[in-house]
Formats: sequence, C-alpha cells, structure tokens
Amino acid sequence: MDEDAKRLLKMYELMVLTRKYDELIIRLIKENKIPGFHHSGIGHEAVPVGVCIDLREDDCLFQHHRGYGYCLAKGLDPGRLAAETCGKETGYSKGKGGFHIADPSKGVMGISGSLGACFPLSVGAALTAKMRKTDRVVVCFFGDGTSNRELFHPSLNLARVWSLPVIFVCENNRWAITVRIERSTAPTPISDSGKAHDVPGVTVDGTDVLAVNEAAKEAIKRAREGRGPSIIECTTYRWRPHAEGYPYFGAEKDAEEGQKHCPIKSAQERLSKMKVPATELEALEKKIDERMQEAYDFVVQSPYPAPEQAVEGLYAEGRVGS
Amino acid sequence: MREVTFVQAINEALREEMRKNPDIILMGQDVGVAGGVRGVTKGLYEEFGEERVRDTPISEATTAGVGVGLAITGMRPVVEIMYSDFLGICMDEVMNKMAKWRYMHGSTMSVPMVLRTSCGGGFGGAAEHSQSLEALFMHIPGLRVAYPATPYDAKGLLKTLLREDNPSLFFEHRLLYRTKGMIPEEEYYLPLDKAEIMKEGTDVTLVAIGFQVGNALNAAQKLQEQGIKAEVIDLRMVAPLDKRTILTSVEKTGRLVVVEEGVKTGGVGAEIGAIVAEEGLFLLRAPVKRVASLDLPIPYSPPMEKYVLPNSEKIIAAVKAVMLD
Repeated sequence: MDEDAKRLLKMYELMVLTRKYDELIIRLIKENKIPGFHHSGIGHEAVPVGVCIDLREDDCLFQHHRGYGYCLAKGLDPGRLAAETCGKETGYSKGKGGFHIADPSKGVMGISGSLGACFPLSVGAALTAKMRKTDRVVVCFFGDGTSNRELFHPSLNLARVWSLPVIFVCENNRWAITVRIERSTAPTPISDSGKAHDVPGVTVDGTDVLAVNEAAKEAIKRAREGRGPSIIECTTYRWRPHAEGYPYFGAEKDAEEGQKHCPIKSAQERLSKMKVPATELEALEKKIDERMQEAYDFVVQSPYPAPEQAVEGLYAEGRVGS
Repeated sequence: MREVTFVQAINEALREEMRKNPDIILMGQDVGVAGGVRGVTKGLYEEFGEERVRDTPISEATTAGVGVGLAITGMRPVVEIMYSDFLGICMDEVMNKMAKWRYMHGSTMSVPMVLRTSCGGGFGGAAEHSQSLEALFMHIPGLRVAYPATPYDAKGLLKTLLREDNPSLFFEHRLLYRTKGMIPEEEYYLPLDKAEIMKEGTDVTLVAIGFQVGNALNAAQKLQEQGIKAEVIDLRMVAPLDKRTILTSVEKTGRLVVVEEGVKTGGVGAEIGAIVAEEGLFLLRAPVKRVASLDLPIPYSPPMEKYVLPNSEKIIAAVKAVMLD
C-alpha cells in the first residue's frame, strides 16, 4: 500500500470510529442511559478527521458540539468519553460536564455551553503558544450559525493584529437548530468573514476528507510558520435533527441530500480505486465494533459519582511560589 | 512603613509579581503605552515590553475570553475592564468561562486570571460609569471577588490573587485611586479569607465594603464623640466572605449595620444580613440595618447623586436607629 492509501485508510478508520461512536451514543440514549442531550455529528465526520489527523498531540483544539470526532481523532478514549455523556464517575469530567469534555494533556481544551465563546479562548491559547515561543497551533471548530456570534469578528481581528497561530474551522451544514442559513446569515461565504481583517479563508467540500485535509495542511503550515490565522469553511450536511429527540423542523430534505454525500462512503470508493482490499476495511470495521462494545461495557459497569462529589473541584488548591 | 497612593499600591503589586513570574501578562484598553487611563499600569509597558503589556481594541468580551484562553493554557493574564459598568459586555466570559471552565471540565484545568476593573460613583459619571456591581459576582460560585478599601489592602490582596490558581475580580473604586495609605517597606501578601477590623468598638458592628470603609470610619469617629463605640470591619473580599469575623464582632456588639455602595436590593448587605439571621440571630439586640445606594441608576447631577449614594451621615443615622432598639 502506498503512503497516500495508508493516510486515507487512517482517515477512513477515524471516520468510521466517529460514526460508530455516534451510533453508540444514540444506542445509549435509546436505552435511557444518557441524562443530557446529544448533537449527532453523523455526516460531519470528514471535518474533524480531515483537520485533526495533521495536528500534533501538543496542538490545541476547542471542539464543536456536533459529534465527538475531534476528541476521538485527538486520541481520547471512547469508553471515558461515553462514560462522561452518561454522567459516570469514570468520565473525562468526572460526571460534571456531560458534553463538556477536555483533556489538556492531549490538547483538547473543552467546549463552551454558549456557542462561539471559544473564539476568543482559542485566540488566548494561540497567544500562549506564541509567547512561549512554541510552534503549536490552535484550532477552533464552530458551526455556520455560530459565525453570527458577536465574538467572531473581534476574535479574527485580534488574531490578525497579533498574528496568532489559530485556525477557525467552520462546519457549515446550513442549519442553526431550526433556522436555515439564508434566513439568518448574509449570503457572503463564511470563509470570506476574514476579509475585513485580512484573514484568509477557503471553502471546501466538507464531505470530502481529502479536500478538508488539503486545506487543513495549508492552514496548519501557515500557522506553524508564524504567518497568522486563517479560516476553513467546510460545507457539509446534518443528517440528524439538531439534538436527538428533536423534530427536524424542515431540515429533512437537507438530511436526505446528505445521504448522497456520505464522507465515509466516498472515502471507501477511493480506497477501493487505490486497490485497498475490501477485506481490510471489513477487518478494520470489526475491530472498531469491538472497541465500541468495550466502551459500552465500560460505561454500564462504571459507577455514578457519589452525590457529595458535586462539592469537589470548583477551586484549585494550588498557588505559585511561596 | 511608607506612604503610597492606591494607584501606586496596585502598580507595585503588578510590577513585583511580574518581575517574579514571566507568565503574568497585562491586557486591556490603554493599559500599555499610556500606562492606563488612571496611571495604574504606568511604566510597566516600558519595563516589561509590548509582549507582556498589551493594549487591546474596544472588544471587552473578546479580551476577557482571550484571558481565559491564556489562563487555561498556563499563562496568568490580568485583564483590565476600564469600568465595571462594562462587565455586562463580557458577562458570559466572566460568569461562565472564568468561573465554570474548570469545574465543568472535571477540574482538568485551572483559570489563574485576575480581572481588574474600576467601580463606584460620586464623580458625575452618571448611570453607566458609576455602578457598584460586586454583589452580582458573589452570586457566581467559582469567582474570588476582592474589593480593597486602602492601598494596603489593594497591594496585599492583588499580590495574593496574582499567585492564586483561581479566577478573581478586583474592584477598584474610582475615588480611592488618589487616596494615600501606609504600606510595609517589605513585600507582603494578604489572606483571601480574612476581613480586617479597622477600629474596635463594643456598641455596634459596622461592616463596610471598599470605598464605604472610609465613610464608615468617619461615621465611627463622629459617633465616638457622642459616646457610641462602633467596631468597623473592612470586608476586603466579597467572596469568599469572612463570616467568622462578622459573627464574632456581632457577638460582642449585638448590633449590625452593613455599609455598601451597591444598590440595597440583592446586595452584599442582604447576604450578610441573611447569614447573621441564620447563624447568629440571637446574638442581635436590634434589627440589622443596611446602608446602601437607593434602588436607582446613579443620576448625574451632584445633588441627586449625593442623595442616592451612601455617606457618613446616612451611616450615623442608621447606627442611631439600631442603638435605640
């Protein structure tokens, strides 16, 4: 297998993992094991995978709420991720967060409840990277709806003024809960949002993992070399409603259209053209199924936190120096 | 001991800690080249350079959010919001990001960040440049809320907060900036859980906050001449609240008057009154009284502004009322 095929196979594997993990969460919802909500990322897999595959462990990201591909591609454990979603003690946030998940040791810096709050947080993280004279980069994922958040443009502005290594990755699925994009957002491409601030942007087919990856490689290189921020807009499809259990509110048509643009299927077709044997893909899928079952078992066997654990961890005990 | 202004005290705290810790950086509108609109950061840009002392655009929410992003990745930002009245612009950053990022992410990170801001009225600032909003922030678990009354408080508390791993708000009353006070020659740090008894007394406890500590001390002086011995407590920190010092004093005096500049309803005094009712009701020989701003926006014209804000006369009247009971 040549290098290109190997790389694509890795991306394929991460996309299948992301899809199957999402299906695991939906299974847990059906079994009434999830106290909170889940914003399915099915159909979006090419975006987190295409971007994160070229991030180093010490690069930071602030994830979007649609699915868990960001965390999985960064190497977080599916069992501990799902345990958090189920409110178990073994979860990444010890049951305090639900979908608020972070693992700074792997550069996963968390997710805000209010959309778009991570724009300036990622600018701050990028400023740390620059001030510490590292070549780390920071990625901030967001949706098309979140491009209307008040913090977006001032964050682009400051990232440009201070020339910071931050990449803003938009997952444009055309829907903000129940409102389609043309009813909320001026027709300018979101990738052009940086024009007012001299921040370059590009729009790519967000269902094509290689297209996403090409754009990401370019943006990461730019950021690493100290050439400043950029925007990648990935057009994609939301297959599921805003959150599991919600109605579609008119988003069904786009969801159906999305099925014709499955990022996993198109990667599979490419791999077959590259002569990667189908048996290899099947074996890989089976391995992921086993991992998901292990994750499921881990979750159901994990205990809930003791109620009093609620009072722990709000304040840090630490203090600098003497 | 030596005499410094409130501005110098804050400036010294920043300078001393910045010399020790390269992770501390300053950000805010006009804090850099100009040294701050009130001179608080004067000379720091020259000493520490533009990397560590950063002028920011008129983007308060973004600046506060950048502070959180710096803090969770290992830096120690000090963000200045010029007027606390503008904290509304960055409320999500303060109440959700600064206060909650650590807890909701399972304590995997900490947010060692100080947000400095000026507050208070009495100088013709009108409704959006005069407010005292500290009570809003004591309602948000996760935040330290400091409100120094003297240069000594200001330097000692800020130095401690700059070493803390928790996020804090630091309120600086605008009429305190030019006031003077004594501080030790050597470095010092003040604890965050200890109110200060400024004057001892046996008849009534006056718990005062920030700028109103001065008014409470003036009132106590005049009351002393009339034979009433007031104990004056400088609260220093609104959160955590040192209820032990308050209750111990009330145990001695049996009377409590709380003095604050925020509006009366839902204020710090309401909380202190409730604590004493819950934990020390039978220590009281008279009902608790609150001296606070009237429940109004601060008006511009001096006679109206004076009418709305607390002052020594209002404190004296409140003390006399509780002494009758």
